[in-house]
Amino acid sequence: MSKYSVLLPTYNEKRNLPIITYLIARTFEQANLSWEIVVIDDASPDGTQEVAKELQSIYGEDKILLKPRAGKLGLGTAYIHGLKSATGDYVIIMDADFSHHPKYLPEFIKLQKEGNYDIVLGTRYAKDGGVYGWNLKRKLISRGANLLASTVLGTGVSDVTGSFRLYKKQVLETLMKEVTSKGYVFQMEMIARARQHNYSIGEVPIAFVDRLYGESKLGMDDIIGYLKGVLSLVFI
Amino acid sequence: MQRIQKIILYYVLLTILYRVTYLFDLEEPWSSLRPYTPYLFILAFGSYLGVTLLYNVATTHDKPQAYVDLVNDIKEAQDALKTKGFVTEE
Repeated sequence: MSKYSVLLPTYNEKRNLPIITYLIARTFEQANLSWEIVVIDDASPDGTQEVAKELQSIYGEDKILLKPRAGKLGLGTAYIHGLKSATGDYVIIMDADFSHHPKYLPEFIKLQKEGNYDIVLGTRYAKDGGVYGWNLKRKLISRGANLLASTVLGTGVSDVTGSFRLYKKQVLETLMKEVTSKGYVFQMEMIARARQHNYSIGEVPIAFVDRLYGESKLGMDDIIGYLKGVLSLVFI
Repeated sequence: MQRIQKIILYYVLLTILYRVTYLFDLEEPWSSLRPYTPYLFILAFGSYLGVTLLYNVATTHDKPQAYVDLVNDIKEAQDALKTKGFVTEE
């Protein structure tokens, strides 16, 4: 039976971690699948690790793996760190802030099995995918950024920056050795390199719930950083 | 092949196409239009991107139900965790 590891990098997720864990556990148990969650916590000052330990006592230490780190060291290295302890055949990366709902995981898994895909990504932009909480300006920026990256890089996927993905473990390990960028660009680089390796990529439409709590700001620095990132990926 | 190599290849192919138009005798107005074809191409491509962007924005689906379902799921999670002896913050 295939086993699925969910990598959850956390920083100050004391409030969200138990809930997202419950939802992931519920989804996997209902679908009768073998699973584990790897919590990679970057020394959260709010007590996220204590919460993770409590969850271990509820779900078992074989289901909730806690792999802490000494400080805020970034997403890419968090995945690398988490991968070392993951015992699943497949690895899922997702956000812990409820923008990605675990209820889609059985669809990801089913599609992966049907097509033997190396990667399955959640798309906000194709088929019945969508978003909650985006005004017109946000849609323009996000769709614009996606169109720019898709056109320049020729990635052939509908959602280049999405971070709700399932990978074959070997595929993720291979890509993580090569990827060097951070943030949005990291997710794009994963896809760009996956294309170079000719990995097969399937897509599942998802509803992305943005910013359940609070507002996000997009500054000029972010925009310039994004453009530089896309440009750098032309030369990989 | 790297992406940059592909981009250069596209550029070279388009340039060849452009030059090929000069191998033929053409009538007006097509004949004097030839030097402008690169600019017309850029204009056409830019317009295509612009229209695609507007279309994409217009067809980005809103999912209000997803928010409702999520709020319910969070409530269910909080209740379930409470029964397992876990204290969650509201």
